[in-house]
Amino acid sequence: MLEYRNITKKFGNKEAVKELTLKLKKGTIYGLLGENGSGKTTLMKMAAGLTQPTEGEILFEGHPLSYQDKASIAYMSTEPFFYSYMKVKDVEEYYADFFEDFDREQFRKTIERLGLNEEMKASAMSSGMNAKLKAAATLARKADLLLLDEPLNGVDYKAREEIIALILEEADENRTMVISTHLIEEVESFIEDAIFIKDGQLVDVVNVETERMTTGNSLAELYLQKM
Amino acid sequence: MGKLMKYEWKKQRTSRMIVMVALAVCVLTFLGGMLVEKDALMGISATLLLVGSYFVVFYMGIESILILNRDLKTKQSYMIWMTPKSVWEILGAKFVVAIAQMFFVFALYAIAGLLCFVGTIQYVGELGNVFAIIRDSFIRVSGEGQLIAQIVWNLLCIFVGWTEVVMVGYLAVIVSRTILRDSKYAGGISIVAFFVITFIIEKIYNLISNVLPNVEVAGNSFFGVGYLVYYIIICVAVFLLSGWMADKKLSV
Repeated sequence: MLEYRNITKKFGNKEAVKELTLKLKKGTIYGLLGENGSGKTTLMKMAAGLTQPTEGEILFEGHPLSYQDKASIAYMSTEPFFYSYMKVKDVEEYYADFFEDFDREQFRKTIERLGLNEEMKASAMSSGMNAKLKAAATLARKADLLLLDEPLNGVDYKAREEIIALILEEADENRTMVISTHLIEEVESFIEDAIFIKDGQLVDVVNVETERMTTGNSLAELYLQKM
Repeated sequence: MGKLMKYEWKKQRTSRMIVMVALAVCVLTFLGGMLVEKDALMGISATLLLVGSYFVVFYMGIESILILNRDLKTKQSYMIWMTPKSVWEILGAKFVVAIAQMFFVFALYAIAGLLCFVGTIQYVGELGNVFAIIRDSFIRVSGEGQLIAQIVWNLLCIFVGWTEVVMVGYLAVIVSRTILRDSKYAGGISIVAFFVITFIIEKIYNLISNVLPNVEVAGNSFFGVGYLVYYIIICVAVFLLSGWMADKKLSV
């Protein structure tokens, strides 16, 4: 599905990602775990086409990643990114205009379920409401690859549960999800493979269930060991 | 590209609304002054229209550059860069809309000016005579049959020159945000970069224009052929450079 081949990303003299090679399988939910500044966001942004690797190559479905692949890749950043003039209904129109895989009906239902309405202005929303809107828009896309960067960041407990429920509803064997988070215990129940990143380098990729069965370690314990 | 332009167009709608309201106020004040025969009121609104037309058209261009800088700084740039569109379509849409908005505002001012002008002529009377006097004076300066050609040529050259300024502004922001990313100094550095790039472009033009023969079009027009050709080449070069940087180096 997605392959990073010997990727290095430099910002000036700083190496955010160092010679990283990683292969993601179709239909798997990945947890991307690491400390702040470990390179998780950079890794996601490269796959989303928002920044280019300094060295190395990214392959999507076997071919070099290009701008057309953004039609099959949905990215949700940790920062609010909707245009400041946009209301919820403008976000819906925007996604429908640019992404053929966007399901308007599902978006409307999700918005209602999350307690938002179409006249609300994105720039006036709290961080929790903004996270709900970002999740609703991103998850209403039937994209093959979903990249969710800190989807639970700055969100209260109830909103967190609602976003997790949304993620689980959208997971299936044809879609790959990559979720970066610091809230390990929140995602432990549904993450299949955990990718550990430290200082821009891949530490390990671990199947959570296999690890639990063989060593009895929880994801949190594994995180402490690896990091 | 049409959809990209649609959303770029929306970004400056507040400014356009302010311009339209200000214009409506000016025209109504002017016509009101005419009705109550207050020349001072007419004079003030006509002056505001004239000064405003000059300032606002330039402001719309500058605002589009400021919006690009703001989008990159606040991550609203994700919106456009996460769409399955090439960097050439994205930048192309931004440039076309920036220029179209300046045209739009210019057209609004032209309509408002025309309204006031026709109103004045009606007010003074002798509509046909005044038009004839204005036309004759233009022809005396520019030569018979050259009037329209000269106006079109000068407007075309001003348009290309201003397009080049806006494109250099975009390039300056992209260069600055590529090097400094989220630094608080990136905005300031982009202004410095703008003046440096503009200085280089102007310096090269001065060197070239001294060497090349000055071929003029449409009589005594302000701009020679060399001016237009040079700035069209610069526009293409700046667009290609901006696109390459945005594609390969810029982290949005």
